[in-house]
Amino acid sequence: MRVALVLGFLLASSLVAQQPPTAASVTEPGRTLARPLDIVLGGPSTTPQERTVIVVVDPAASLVKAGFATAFATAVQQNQKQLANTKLGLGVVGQKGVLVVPPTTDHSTVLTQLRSSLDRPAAEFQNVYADLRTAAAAFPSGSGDRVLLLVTLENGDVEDDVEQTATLLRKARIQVEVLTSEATLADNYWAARPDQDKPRGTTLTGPDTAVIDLPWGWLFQVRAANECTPAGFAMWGLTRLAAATGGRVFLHAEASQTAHQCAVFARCLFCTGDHMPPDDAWSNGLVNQLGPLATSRGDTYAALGSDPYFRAMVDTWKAAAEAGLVQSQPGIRVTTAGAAPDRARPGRDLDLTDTASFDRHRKRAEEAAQKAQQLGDELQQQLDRIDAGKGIPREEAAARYTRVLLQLTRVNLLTFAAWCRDIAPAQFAKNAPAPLAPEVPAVDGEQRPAGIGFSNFCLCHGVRPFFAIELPGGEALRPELEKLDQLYTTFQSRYGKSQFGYALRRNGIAQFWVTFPGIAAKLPRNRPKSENDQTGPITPRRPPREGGSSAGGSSGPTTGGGK
Amino acid sequence: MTFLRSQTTLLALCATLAAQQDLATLVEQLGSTDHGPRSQAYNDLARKRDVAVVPLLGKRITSFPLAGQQSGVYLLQQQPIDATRAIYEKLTNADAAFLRAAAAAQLARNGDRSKLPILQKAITKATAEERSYVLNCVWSIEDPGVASALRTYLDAPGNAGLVVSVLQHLRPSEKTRSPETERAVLALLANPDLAIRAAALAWLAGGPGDAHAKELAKVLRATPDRLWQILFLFEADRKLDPDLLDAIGTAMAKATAKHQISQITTILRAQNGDFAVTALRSLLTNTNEEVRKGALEALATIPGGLDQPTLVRMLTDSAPEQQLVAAATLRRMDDASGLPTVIALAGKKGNHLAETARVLGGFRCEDAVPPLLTLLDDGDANVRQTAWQNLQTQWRDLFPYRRFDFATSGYDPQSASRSAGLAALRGWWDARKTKR
Repeated sequence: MRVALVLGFLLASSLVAQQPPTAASVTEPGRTLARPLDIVLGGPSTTPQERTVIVVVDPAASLVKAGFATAFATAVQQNQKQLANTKLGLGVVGQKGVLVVPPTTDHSTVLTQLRSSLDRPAAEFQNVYADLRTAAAAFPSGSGDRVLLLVTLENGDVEDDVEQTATLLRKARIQVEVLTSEATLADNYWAARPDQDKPRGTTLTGPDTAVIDLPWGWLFQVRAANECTPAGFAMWGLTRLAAATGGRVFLHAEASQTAHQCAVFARCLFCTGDHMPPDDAWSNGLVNQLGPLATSRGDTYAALGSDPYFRAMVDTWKAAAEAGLVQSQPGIRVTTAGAAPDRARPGRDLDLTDTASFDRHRKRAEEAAQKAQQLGDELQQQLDRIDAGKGIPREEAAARYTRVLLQLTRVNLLTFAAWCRDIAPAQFAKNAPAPLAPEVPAVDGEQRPAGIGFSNFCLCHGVRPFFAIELPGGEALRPELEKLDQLYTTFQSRYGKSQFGYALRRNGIAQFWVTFPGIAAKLPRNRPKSENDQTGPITPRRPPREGGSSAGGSSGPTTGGGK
Repeated sequence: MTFLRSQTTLLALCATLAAQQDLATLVEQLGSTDHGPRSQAYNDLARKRDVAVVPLLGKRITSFPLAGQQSGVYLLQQQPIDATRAIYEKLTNADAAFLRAAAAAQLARNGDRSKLPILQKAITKATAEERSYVLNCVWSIEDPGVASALRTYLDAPGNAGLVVSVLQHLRPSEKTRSPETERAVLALLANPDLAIRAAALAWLAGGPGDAHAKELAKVLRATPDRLWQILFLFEADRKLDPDLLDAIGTAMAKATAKHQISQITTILRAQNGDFAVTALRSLLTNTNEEVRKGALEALATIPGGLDQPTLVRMLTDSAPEQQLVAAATLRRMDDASGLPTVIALAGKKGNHLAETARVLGGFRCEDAVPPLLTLLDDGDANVRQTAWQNLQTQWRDLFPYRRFDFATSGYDPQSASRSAGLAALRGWWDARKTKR
């Protein structure tokens, strides 16, 4: 019996050892400025130790607004005793040579210079990785711990040779501590905008992972959930630097980012902003379990390539893109040997909205709905064949999310087909009977349609409430909605209190309308880099989580990379 | 034809002159020392929002008593800056410090920061009577000079209200507490007026073991009513001593209005969410109905404040108002089990019907519609109005592919003859399923 237990323990230990490290292993709880500064400046011991701490600050407006200079001064004051033998240096991202105050025991110089640097916040993209490599050379030789505190709320997505940077810092025995904002889950923002100008030698990325491991650009979704779902972790590049050098990642967010809001780019049919979702509070354990890998990009490819869930999901994603169900192709391809980067290509365009050819659109939509069902069923069969516990939990969540999204897309396609068949043509029919008051015709006058527009009704309250809503397709749509409800409920019962549950709720059931010539407007992009600040309480970038703070309560607000 | 046209022009001119005369009379009344006519004139002028009032005020405002000057300033603030800039420029040289301050502040808010020194000087020159008026016109100005001038009011404060007001004004421009303000507030601890001392203690109150917090806790336990005046001096990001939190929680039980409960809840939640929930739950049995209702509503805003079993229990064994809060809260938690209770309440007479209509309107399902239609014919206009507003939102959400113009139904909740409109609405509702 004892031998069996020991063997069991050894087996379990070896299995644990095989799991590559995730971002959860380096990400600290809390979202304040005070705690990270206190921990980093206070150091590991209560007695003064010989250390060199260089703070590299990316002077973005959000950092100024957060009151960083004051928080830093307070932390220095509160840790005066521990900092007695510590040389503090200051680097400013974007400044020539980075370093503005070489490491010194005269801490007041650092404070003064920090305030003055933050008086001139920068709005442009900054290559923090290149500046870190430069700053590494500024550490004096000699004994004592070497700590580099990188403070960047906005530029972690401007990647520049992360692995080389990590290696250089590790070799120089520099521990990188990062204070940054939260990424969005498998963020596709820059992947969808490849033509954006960027600093030379950099790549704009931004997700919490080394590769985007969640399909984005689903048909009839106004905005990808990947662009507005808080990841719970920092951008991969920054996480990687901390993980490779024995450092930590601290996330920062404003307190005003916690209020629940059902929809970001959608309309909620079921409340007026007073929703209290039962799974609004995240489970820290679950969020951590679904954390992205903190390994190098190469190691990440290797791990994902051998993961059964990831392989099933990527195959389905590719097929869905070819069928026009999703407007992106995976930027990774799986082979028998593993996985490798692939050129990101757009998915097939079904051309369902650019004209008012309702009957043609209906036929295409019905065919696509059939394909969505087929792919969904095939993916389900593949998932059912994978043994429980065999695979990366995050990739399993991504694969199951893909399954639900296929059914949601099928529902939207069937709704669209029914709308094209029953509603849209009737709006322009001659001699159509006038509706009974208080209903009025949906279209005024003699206008002719030019195309089709759509928006989303959010899924924040689930699928079941939609049973009471009059949707195109009527009773015929009901079985499909019921199937979606079953998939949605099953998914949320497992992942509801995590970033993946949040992502699913950020999708929606589509509503369609005819468009007329000259009516078009671009949707605003709300993102930390933009200046479209709201003055009142703003959209939640993610809900508060339980058990994250030292007080044992909610860990407080967090940000996402986008609104 | 020409004669007719000139007649029309003449009539229009007469009407304009009459309106002008009317405005002039009202502006005169604004200068009255009698509160009644002055207040009436202010309300009338504010409702009109006529830009023609600007030159009239420009001529008369300096001769008004202080309260009239303030009303005049508010009326000027209603108008576009381009129409009022010249008058503000003139008023920056007025004899009254209040007018100089108000004019300089408004110009500064509109980008002319060269007026800040005038504002600073006017603040320091204001008479004791003018000070509270001055504080009302310096909103949203964050300037160290202005903050410094306002701080001088703490040197010899006339009353606790002024102290609270000054400290509230200083907060935005002093994100980190300035040593100068701290010194001034510490000096207030020696003031003989307990209300002033309480305000100072609230501003100074800090974390665990803090002596000021403990002192304030004693004051609040002895005189809980002091809490309402100093409530806004507690800062959300400053952790308070548990003893003080306890005293605030105890004082909350002495509230007399619902809004007081919600104000304290905001503070307590920021400090300690669990404590806020415990304190609010203890108020559910308070003898004051307003307090009970306020506590229930506040709990309903806190995730986890009211658990589902408690709410479900409240659906059956509580007063109608509480049943409605319970049903609405459950609905917000995606649980529609309170709907039958709400429907049943819609059929009972009482003061709860307006709230019933509001709660019913929150449900997006067919069952919620017939009782709302019934409430459209209630004897109470307030109930009808609430039902009407909620029905419109509800139908637009239930039928997102239909377009409504509710005015075409002919229903008017304020009208005595509502039967035709009601019949139209019921007719549409009954016919809806055969329509598409």
